[in-house]
Amino acid sequence: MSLDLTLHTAPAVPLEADILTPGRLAGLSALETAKLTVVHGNQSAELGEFFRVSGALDGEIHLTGDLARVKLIGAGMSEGRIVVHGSAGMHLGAGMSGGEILVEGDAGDWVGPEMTGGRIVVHGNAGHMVGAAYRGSRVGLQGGEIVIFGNAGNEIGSGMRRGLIAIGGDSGDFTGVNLLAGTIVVLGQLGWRTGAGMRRGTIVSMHAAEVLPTFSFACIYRPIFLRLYLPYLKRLGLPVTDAQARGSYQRWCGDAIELNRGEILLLESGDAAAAN
Amino acid sequence: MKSPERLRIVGAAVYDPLNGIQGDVRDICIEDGRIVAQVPLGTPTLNARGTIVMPGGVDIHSHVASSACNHARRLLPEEHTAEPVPAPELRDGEAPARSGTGGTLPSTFTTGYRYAGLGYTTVFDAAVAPLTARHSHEEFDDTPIVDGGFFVLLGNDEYLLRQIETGNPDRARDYAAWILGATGGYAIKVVNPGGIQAWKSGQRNLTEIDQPLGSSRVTPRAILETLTDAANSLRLPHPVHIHCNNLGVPGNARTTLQSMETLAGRRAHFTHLQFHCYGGGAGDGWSSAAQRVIEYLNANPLLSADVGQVMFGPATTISADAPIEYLLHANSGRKWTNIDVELETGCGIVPYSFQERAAVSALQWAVGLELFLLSADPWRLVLSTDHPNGGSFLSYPTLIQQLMDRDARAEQLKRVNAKLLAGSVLADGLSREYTLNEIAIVTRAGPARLLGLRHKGHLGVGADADLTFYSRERNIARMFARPRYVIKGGVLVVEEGQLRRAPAGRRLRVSPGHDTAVLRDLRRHFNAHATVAFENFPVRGLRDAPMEIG
Amino acid sequence: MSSSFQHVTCLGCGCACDDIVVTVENERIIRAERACPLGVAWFGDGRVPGEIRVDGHPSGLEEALDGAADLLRAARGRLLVFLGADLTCSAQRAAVGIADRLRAVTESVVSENASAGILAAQRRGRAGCTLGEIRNRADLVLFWGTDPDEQYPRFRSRFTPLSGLHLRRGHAGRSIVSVAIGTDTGPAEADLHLTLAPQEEVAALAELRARLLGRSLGDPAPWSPELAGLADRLLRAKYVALIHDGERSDQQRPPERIEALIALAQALNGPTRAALTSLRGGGNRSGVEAVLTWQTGFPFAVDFSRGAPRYQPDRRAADRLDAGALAAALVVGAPTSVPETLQRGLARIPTVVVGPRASEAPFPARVIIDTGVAGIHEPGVGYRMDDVPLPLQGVLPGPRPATETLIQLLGRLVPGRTEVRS
Repeated sequence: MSLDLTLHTAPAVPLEADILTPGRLAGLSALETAKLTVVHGNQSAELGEFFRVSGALDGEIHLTGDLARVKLIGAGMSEGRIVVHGSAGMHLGAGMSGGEILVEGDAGDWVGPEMTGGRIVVHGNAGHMVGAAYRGSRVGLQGGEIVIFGNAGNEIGSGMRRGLIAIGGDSGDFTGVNLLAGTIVVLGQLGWRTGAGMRRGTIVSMHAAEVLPTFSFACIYRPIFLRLYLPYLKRLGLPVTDAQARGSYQRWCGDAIELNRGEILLLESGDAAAAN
Repeated sequence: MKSPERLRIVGAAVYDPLNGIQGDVRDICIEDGRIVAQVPLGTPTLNARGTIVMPGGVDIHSHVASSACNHARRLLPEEHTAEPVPAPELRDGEAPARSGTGGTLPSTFTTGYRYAGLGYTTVFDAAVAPLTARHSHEEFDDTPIVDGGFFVLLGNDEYLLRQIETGNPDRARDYAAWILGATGGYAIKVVNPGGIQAWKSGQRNLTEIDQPLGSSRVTPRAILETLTDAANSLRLPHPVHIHCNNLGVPGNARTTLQSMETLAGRRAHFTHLQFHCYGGGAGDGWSSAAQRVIEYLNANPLLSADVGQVMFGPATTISADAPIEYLLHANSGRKWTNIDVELETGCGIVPYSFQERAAVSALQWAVGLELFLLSADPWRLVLSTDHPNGGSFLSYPTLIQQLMDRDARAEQLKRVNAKLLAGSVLADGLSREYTLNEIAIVTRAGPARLLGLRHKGHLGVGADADLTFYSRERNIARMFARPRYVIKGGVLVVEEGQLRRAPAGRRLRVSPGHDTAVLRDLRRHFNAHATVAFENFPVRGLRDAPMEIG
Repeated sequence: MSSSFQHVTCLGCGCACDDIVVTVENERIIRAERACPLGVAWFGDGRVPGEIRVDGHPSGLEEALDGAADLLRAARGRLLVFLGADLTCSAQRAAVGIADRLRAVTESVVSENASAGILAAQRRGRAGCTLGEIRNRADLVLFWGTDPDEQYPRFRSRFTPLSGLHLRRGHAGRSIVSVAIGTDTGPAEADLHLTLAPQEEVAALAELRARLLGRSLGDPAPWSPELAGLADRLLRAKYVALIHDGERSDQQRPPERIEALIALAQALNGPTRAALTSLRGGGNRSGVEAVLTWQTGFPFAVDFSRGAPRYQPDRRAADRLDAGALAAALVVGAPTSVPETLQRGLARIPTVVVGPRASEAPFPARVIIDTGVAGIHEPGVGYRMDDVPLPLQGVLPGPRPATETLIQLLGRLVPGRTEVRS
């Protein structure tokens, strides 16, 4: 049994729905849940004006509908599970510390910013700033996992300090900008300026990429940790091959103008020379 | 209900150290914003039974309303994002309250509401560059309730240093008087005398009291003496307010004592003294030298100080002492803003936090408490955390608890990293507990007297009607965190622990007389070196008249 | 009969020159001595319209204020308050108070580059100075991809003249380095010239910083010897002033260069002393940032819709307007300072304009109230690009002052009150 919310009226403007977490809805009946306040534009509204609520919360919330304009789903959650049968709006799982969010469709910008734990899985595409630090903030993701099956935008994992971000498709520019530590795996193509300003941490891609001049080539080797991480991602459903898990990778160290203890690992590929 | 112009308060136990009242239950009468001897029958009455009442709190050293504060706010959006503060719900009929943000350096409206919520009614910004004085006035205009004023930064400014170089103390005095009047400031502040000029000129810093600035005759000692004499000769209500050289450096107690000795026999105030009381030195680690310094202070009645207590938790270091802020950035790796201010001073900002598990933080916390507990005269060693450098002003209730309750102190001591506390008097077990009367002195009566505010810090007839009523509670931190009533200028601003009214506060400033001959010289100086016109420098149109001097 | 005003502050650009002598005759400005061409254009003859209109018809002030308040209160959805140019700080403070009251989204005159600079400085901090320090101390001035002469005509003569309080006399006192990046050239007269392509800029800044920190980077680039020379010069200087344009740049220059410039200036403070100056535009836009910061904690992109300030630098009003997410707008200040992308959106929602030349707004507005211009008709405080606050004078009588008008509007937005104590 789970608490089910089905969108019956699309919000005209973005809806701020940070009450949608298992923690905040715990102990409420469907009727009480429908009466909860959400911010719609500059007015307050009741959740029931947009969602049909049924069932009972036993740790799981199911949301159904095109929720691309519903922001802050799962923000700050610490336990439980949210499944979105559809797309989700911006700031999904912002600052969450535990639990799991699963989105069957796409997600907007700012998936899981400044998360400290838990897991977010998006089967479609995500926008910019996945697992990123907020503006002015130096530290982004501090724990937890974000898995995007499709493509993602720019500045993935900016300021990340710990945790794992995995992208099944392509990533945009500035992947891992100002990375403090942690791991980002991109199965598709990286954009420009990957790892700019990174201090520590690891960025992995299965394709050749243009690397900043402040990174230096170290060696080609077969990283042991990938033999654990990549099969793990495969178990989560990402299209990782055994060849990738056991493959050889070019190791580039940087960013030399920061701490220089970060690395970019690019799958050594026979047919395309690494551009640099 | 509009706040009555006349009010009688009954039933509170009065703590008015200046007038020798320590807990008597007495009526207090208020009329037109002042304490009066009596009010007519039928005057509205506030029943304050079960509370103790003290004069409103006076914060002698804080960073709340200045260009430097604003640079710091700008640097900390993450703190503001984490703490949005909706507008308080004031009583109907009041001007609308304003929302804001918190963190270590809150926005201005929130600052005023929070200080008032704690029962503080007068706050001074301790460090304003003269060039940016009108910015401070604007920020204070947006800081409700509290009466405010600021100290102007002198001691690294080109004009003053030239008067010292050429042996012209009278001119230096006239200049200081002019600056105070032109900026609308309240007192003279010296930060790291000569050291900021050194930082800007390539010498990096001055670390000895007799070290000259470049090839000049100007030394920290000369600067301290010149400005102290100027302040005293001008009979300013508050003496020169001194942030010594070598702040935060192990072994700096030596510099602090030398600075105090050089000013022996003269009124002078040493600020955030805790940061200047370290023993040890390069290669020799850190230790507490609080005992040495407080003994000197105790024995020299013309000297005063505020503690600058460190409280565990987040802080923001914000200081004109730019060279030390650079070092803090270099050592901690934290983000850093530095602004050099032409002809005058500097500014450095580094976010920080004091951790129980960090040995140096623990030592700093201990040093501050040692100063408090070894002080022989609460009138001359008053409370501050140098907000937000040592911690937010919101931590004052917890600090008061640590002063009044040795068990609370011991609890905290158990949790800290004691590595550097060997030989610390605190670790040996200082059992003194501050009484309510002493707390009233170090948080109100003492600062008001040191500041020369004759109408504040006491509840005698003629005093400003600034009062704070605390419900008696066993938990001292809780008691001081949530006053039951706060009256400011006769207006009941906090009722039953809630902020209900937010009238504007007044500006406290001085405008000492001076020989007008200095103006010609200053005009020449501005024409030659300044990028603002001499005529545009003074702040005009200030609403509140300057305080009488003398 | 003419009269003269001394020490007038010009808001034509962020230099905020306060030595202008303005001569007024027959209620017009006939001369603004010492003003550069930008300043002369900004002062103009000082005449401004004084109209009040509601739905196109002339109106009295009271009805217009009532109409504006009704329009703003009736809007279903989020409101926008745009903080435009040419307002005194007291008017800006009142406007932010209105935005707070209305739980509005705010936007202000801040260019893309300026926003990038603000955000980068929030991540790292910054090493800066007031402009007089450049004049008095900078023995090396590095114009990085900018020649101030066009947009800030008096900058160089006022802040980088030959002499300075702490400089050696004559040409030996101050060296000028001029770096051209793409179509952004530096001053023609300089002791050293460098040229970079836009795509090289960030790498060059990184290499400079690495050299200063004693780090080596990969393979040397073709311009490395020149950069090595520049790095030497920087290290030998006593005080380096880095100057770049905080507002405009060649489109091809990457935005991340601003953070790299900030990092370079900070790093220079280890081996020597340095400060980065971002040239900023006029109209007291630095005042808007100062006021927003002290009143809300954030310098721009402040959103009050949840009842307390939130920071939304990624959500610009133009996007919200396109998304239909804004229901009404209040534009305060000169309406021509509203960016074009926003102007198009404003045409679609009911808008109130209060400010100088409101009646000449290039977009339709339902309520229009003309006010004076800060520093020409309205005294108060304005901020220079380096955040130094300067007094503004009124040299001519103007139509109603913006500050008082906005305070009256705020009074109408408070339930149950028609007047507010300021």
